[in-house]
Amino acid sequence: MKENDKKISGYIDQLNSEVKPKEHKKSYSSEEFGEMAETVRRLRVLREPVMPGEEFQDKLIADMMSHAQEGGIPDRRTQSKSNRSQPKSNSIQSQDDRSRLQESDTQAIRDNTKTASKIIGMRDMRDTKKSGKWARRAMILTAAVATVAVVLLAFPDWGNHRREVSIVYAMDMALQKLKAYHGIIEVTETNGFGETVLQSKREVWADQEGNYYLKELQGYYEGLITINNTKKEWQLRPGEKRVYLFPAFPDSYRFTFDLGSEVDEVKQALTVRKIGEEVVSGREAVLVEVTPEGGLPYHLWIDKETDLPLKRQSPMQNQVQITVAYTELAFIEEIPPELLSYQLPIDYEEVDANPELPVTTLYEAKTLTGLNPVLPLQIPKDYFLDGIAVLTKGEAIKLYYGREGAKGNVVLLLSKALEPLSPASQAILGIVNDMPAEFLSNYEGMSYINSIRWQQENMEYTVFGDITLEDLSEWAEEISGGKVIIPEVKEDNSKQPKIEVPVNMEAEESDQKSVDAGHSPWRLDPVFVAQVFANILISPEGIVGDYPIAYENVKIIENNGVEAIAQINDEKSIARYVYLRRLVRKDDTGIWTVVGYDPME
Amino acid sequence: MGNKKINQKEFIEKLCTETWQELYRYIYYKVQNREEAQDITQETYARAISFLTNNNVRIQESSAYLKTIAMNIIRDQWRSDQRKGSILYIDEINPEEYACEDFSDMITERAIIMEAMGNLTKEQQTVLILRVIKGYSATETAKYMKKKVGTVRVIQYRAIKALTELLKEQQREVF
Repeated sequence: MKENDKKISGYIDQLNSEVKPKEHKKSYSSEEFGEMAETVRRLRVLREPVMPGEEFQDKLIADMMSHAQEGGIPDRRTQSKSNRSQPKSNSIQSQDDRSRLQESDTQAIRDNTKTASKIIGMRDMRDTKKSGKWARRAMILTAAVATVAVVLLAFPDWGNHRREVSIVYAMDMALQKLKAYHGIIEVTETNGFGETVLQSKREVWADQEGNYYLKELQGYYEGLITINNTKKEWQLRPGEKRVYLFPAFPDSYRFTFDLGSEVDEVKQALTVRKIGEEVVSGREAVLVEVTPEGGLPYHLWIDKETDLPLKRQSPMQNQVQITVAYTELAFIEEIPPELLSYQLPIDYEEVDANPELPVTTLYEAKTLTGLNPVLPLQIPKDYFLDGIAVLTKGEAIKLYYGREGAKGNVVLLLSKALEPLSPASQAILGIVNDMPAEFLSNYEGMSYINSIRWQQENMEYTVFGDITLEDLSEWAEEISGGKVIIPEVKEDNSKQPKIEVPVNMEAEESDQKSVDAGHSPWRLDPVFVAQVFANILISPEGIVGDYPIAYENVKIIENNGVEAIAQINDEKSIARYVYLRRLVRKDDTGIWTVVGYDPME
Repeated sequence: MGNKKINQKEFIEKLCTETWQELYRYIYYKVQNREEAQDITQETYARAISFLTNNNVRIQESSAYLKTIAMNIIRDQWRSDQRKGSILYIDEINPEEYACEDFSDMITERAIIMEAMGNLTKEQQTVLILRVIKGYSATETAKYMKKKVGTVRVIQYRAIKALTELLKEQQREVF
């Protein structure tokens, strides 16, 4: 098998390169390989043929004219060399080929499904001699058409969004080939009257490793320089003559329109739809509309040559539209090392805003903190321990984990459990090793960081990172030695409120837009929403001054991220339990709405 | 003599312009690569041109003859032990039936393959879609699936083996 698996892979590569496989010039090495090669060719029938270049027809006619005049057969090998459109070697051009293939393939599959039944009918009527054969074929065809639907469902990129998938994939591939880049980003704001103002202009150097150098050239923060070399982050503030030091991860200063984050966001989007082509900063670009999960659609311009984003425009919200664009962009091998090396400028004062002290061994960390935590016996595959630190204020140990050849940083924070676990108000409430646990998808306000926190044997464990909650659960299981349960999002009829509160969906949708634009952020906090509701119940005429029922007296007892129940621990309250739902959007950007309550008994 | 030349030129131009795309597609479906399809298309015309011009064959009727020649070239070029079925000859062919069968066969073929694909595991389907249908390299597929290149090759091998068996089985059921 070992030999044939490589051979068949090589055979596929040759066909994908549109060259004549060497196996077509000589016999196959074995019957098995011959059969497999035939299967590959048959499978490729699902894609449309790659047609020759435009010049093929003219050359063919010229050759045939010459042949007719000479009365002989032209030398196929020499002629074909000149006629042949060479397969494109450039990776970006290959992507074009793929896009074309995929577009035509979609059409082929559509044609396939559309015409299938028609063909069966034609055959049955026309060909009586072969009726048995065709009837059997028709049966297969009918069954296959049903299967096509199933396969299309299983592989959405085979269906209507095929073209868009090819754009996303091309971006992903281009990003993987990208080593580093240097560009100028302009952020502009357009108001409802169409007036555009430059908000900021910044120079950026960034690479695939996560290093970056960012200098504000114009705007409110002009002169500010932020550098992250993945080991530490520092910010030069010329106005203050100070350098602030921060931990490298998690990074709360990540810059807008980082190509890597941008492509990741597009990959996770619900839909990506091509809507046109335009020229951006002198470069030809494809304009797509991206609809993120739980967000409004925005426009993205993708450079045709490089397949990477050039410009992004948010939808107009509250008469404001933000556009971020690379006015200059160059791809480079690496960021100049001097930009990433830390040096305190003369006359500058260093402010250590990093509350961590790096240590070299776990023993050292344990000695400094007096903690003796349980550590994971095993860590998920491909990860390695990248660093250890102790917090300078408080007794806590931080273990940094990196991942071989892939994105994904994970940090394990260990501290003494001084108080019972008090989950954040927006947290999903789950279980880790039979203990209540907090699941957050915006750890310390950073939307790209997820976290799981729980207590075990007088210790508090927090595991966080820029990976999914499901992947983090694997860490939590390794560390805790028990199961992790994230509550499922489903309608639970057993938990219906005794008194329902009517909801105006139009108003809710309008409120969601308002919150998206930065207004009323309290609507994202179920505790706050429940508190306001409980207070309005006792003071329907309105509240002046402090709320009679305090925020501290509202406790979330259940939350699966979409539905939550708040318990009101206040004698003055009419409601004992308040039922909340995310009605408009089901993620952490969705507002909470009260849908009912249970009165105090 | 001069008129004959003009007529011949017009005929060749018209013949090539009107038929090459269909013929090329037909050949491409058999060989599945552009290089070979171009070569065989050209050789087909070279072999057919004298017959078609000297016998006043109407262009509309030439398509099936061209395909038959193309099929014979493919069979000649590939070793006989790699081939299945018998060689076709121009004399035996009924052009109308041949041209029509080709089209509907293609649709049936696609449907058969899709059905067989539906019986593979999701992982196997993904590898075949990425590698064979979308045309990604093994490395690109590995990155996309977050697997090692070797693992992708093994999944690919097993998928093609399984698909071969499924297609054989279908063949047995149908014929």
